[in-house]
Amino acid sequence: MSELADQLRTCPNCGQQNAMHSLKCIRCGEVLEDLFVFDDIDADGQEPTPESISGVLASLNENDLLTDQTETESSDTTESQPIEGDEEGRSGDASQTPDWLERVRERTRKEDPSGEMVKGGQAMDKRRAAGERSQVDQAFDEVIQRIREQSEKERKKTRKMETNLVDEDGVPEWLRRIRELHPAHEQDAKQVLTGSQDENFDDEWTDEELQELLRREIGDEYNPGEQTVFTNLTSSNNPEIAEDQSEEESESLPKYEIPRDFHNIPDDDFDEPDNTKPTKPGNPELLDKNEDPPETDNEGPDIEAEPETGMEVQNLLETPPDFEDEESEQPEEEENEEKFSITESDQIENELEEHADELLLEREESEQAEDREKKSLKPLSTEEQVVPDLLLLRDQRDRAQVLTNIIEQEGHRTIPVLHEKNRQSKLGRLILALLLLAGVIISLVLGPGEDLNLPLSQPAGALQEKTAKLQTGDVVLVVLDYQAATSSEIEELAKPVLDALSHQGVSLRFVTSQPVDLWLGEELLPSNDTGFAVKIEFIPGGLLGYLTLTAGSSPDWGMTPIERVVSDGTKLLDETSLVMIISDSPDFVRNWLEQISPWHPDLPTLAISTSLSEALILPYFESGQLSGFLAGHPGGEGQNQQANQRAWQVGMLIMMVVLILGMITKAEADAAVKDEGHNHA
Amino acid sequence: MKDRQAVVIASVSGILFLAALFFQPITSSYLNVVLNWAIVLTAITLLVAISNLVITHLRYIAVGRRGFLFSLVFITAFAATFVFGILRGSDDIQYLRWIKAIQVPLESALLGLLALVMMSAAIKIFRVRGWSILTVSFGLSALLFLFLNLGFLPIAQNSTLFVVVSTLQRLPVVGARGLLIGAALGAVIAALRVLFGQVVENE
Repeated sequence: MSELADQLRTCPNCGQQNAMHSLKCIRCGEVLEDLFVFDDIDADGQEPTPESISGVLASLNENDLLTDQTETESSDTTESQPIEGDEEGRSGDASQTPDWLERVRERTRKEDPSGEMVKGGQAMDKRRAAGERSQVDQAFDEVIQRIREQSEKERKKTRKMETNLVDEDGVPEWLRRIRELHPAHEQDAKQVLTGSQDENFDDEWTDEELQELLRREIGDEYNPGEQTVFTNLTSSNNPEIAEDQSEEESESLPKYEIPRDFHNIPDDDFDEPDNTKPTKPGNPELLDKNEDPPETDNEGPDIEAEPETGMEVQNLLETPPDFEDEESEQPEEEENEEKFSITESDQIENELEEHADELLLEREESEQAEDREKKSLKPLSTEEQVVPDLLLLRDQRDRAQVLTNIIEQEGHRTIPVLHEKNRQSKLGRLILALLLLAGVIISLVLGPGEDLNLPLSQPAGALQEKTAKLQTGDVVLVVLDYQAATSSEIEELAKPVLDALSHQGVSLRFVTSQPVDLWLGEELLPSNDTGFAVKIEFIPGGLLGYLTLTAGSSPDWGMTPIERVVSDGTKLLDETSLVMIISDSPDFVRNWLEQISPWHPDLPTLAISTSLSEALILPYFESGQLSGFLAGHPGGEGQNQQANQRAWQVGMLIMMVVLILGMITKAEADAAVKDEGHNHA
Repeated sequence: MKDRQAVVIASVSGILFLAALFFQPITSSYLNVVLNWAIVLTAITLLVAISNLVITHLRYIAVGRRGFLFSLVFITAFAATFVFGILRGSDDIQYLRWIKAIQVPLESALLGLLALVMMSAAIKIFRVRGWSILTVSFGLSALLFLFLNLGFLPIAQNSTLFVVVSTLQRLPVVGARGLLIGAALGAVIAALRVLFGQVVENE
């Protein structure tokens, strides 16, 4: 090793002294190919012929160093030591006998002076047939072949570009060759492109972009001097890939110096496809039939859109570039190919298979790298499938899809709001309000309608009968319990009844537990022309106050505060002939009938209420607890004509129309849903 | 223990009140006194509620809470009503008419809005609830009674039609009786729960 380290090599290009193990010149970068020059192997890596190997072996056998020893003992021992004394045998100088050979000779003399050791080896050699020698030669050839392949790879990696890629039109050499191979495809492409697009196309395909494209196709193993036809074909048929390149990427990449008149495509690769060659194991036809090629497994859209690329791969497989390149660089070796044995042709076929597999693998890796770059550029979405870069299980892929969906839905509302306000509902409500207002206003402007001429209802008839029986001097207790909102409806019903009672000479006593009725009841008070002083008394405590004045009695120690407020105190109902409840609340009527009336069962009770309360009051009329009542449109003379009759009718009609519209819209929505269901089905 | 004291007091008062109602006229004077207590307490609670309402809106105005302008309107109306009521008395005709002129339009407008909401609900009931027995029966009955209440049918001239319409208009009594029975049962149960203190224990 020390001797090797001390040795230096002179660069044939610049004369720089380099170490023996240097692959390139440290000064000019020239490849020092002499490193891979072996004995019995040419500098260009040409494999020795079997005849030459046999000659080497024969020369080893004829080595003087070996023959000196074997001549004294046996003339056949030279055949057993040719390889070991290979280096020394070439010297041909007995004075330069190595130490190890001397030690072997001494050992041979000591251990086997009778020559048994040599005889044993000789006997073994005799037993070995002549065919074994061919096996040795084959093994030796394999070693040499392996070394040659390794040296060839190293040389390809370090090879510099010697020609220019671009011609005078700016079209690369490899692209021109591809266009020559595919004239029809090129014409179609030109027909599709318009003038502006064509200009853009020329502008986009610059040298830097092409270099970047090649780099992306090859991946990390990119070397400007290692451009293959395969990558060039792929990039030429994928203009989208070049479009995806950003200027920053192209600028950030190192710019390689491309020597003039360089092309990496062998001259004889595609000019004349050799169809006369026998089908090799690497033939794509066999690949298509026997095994699935990698590009068909991926099923990528880019791959499917590149049938020409697949054809080029087939051509490449039929004419491996490495061997053809080798042949083009060293044409003189073609003369020696005829001397190859059948074994060597099999090795070549194996190499073709290996190269075919390597090409396919390289293409698959480049496509996967391209897919990864596209994925990194495109944002994730719920629609696109998660194409794994790695081999993923289905469960893992599903989880990745779920995670993608979650990320996509981030920031969006997924749970529907129960009462979501939309502008459409507000608009519809506004239209309804305007419609209702218009109808009511128009009806009020037109004035009251004709007399309804309705027959008198049974509760109204009972009320009319009860009031008609009252005589002058009878006291009617009028209990007010209604609100301002319903005052117009209540007063329209109660006013005629109270006026009739006043005309009959009936004494009216107004009481209320609602403060609001103190000023609302003013409309119900009869005129003072009858001579009775009418006022509204306030009874505090609501229903409890009525209960106190009706059910309770004054204690022995005096009047209670409630009694003092109300005249006659607990004798409120004692002098009363009839109780008339004017209320818009059916609950108040019910409470009166259930809590107050039982304390005076012989006292009849009448009620005037709104139409809304009619249904709830009616059962008490049918049970006899209520002697009669007026509600809604009771009918009969004096009750049919009302000021807001037409507005009432218009409102009823609008309500009916709206209800029918609601049914229609629901039916339409159901029909739409059914149609969608049919369409989906 | 404090909760139990309130429950005990309420329960005893309720039982005594029921006894006073049942044992008339012996307990009539006692009933009068108890009811006066209840009315006075109710009036005091009403004053407390009014005070709380006024203080709350004053706080809203002081803090500048969102919508404090409404609080300002309320305080102004309350103060004006209270001051004029104290000065002029609750029996003053002008004072009563003044309040009436404000209150009646306001509450009538609210009732009109209620009608509008009911119209909107009539549209939405089918869209929200879908087609069911309840919604279909509701729609048909509403249409029927709206049409009957229009007064377009000559029921006064046709006795047969009058009987039919009267029969149809008595149908709501069925539902009304159910409502009344349900309300009565609910009131009895609520009263019993209060008397036996189950409301507090459950809470």
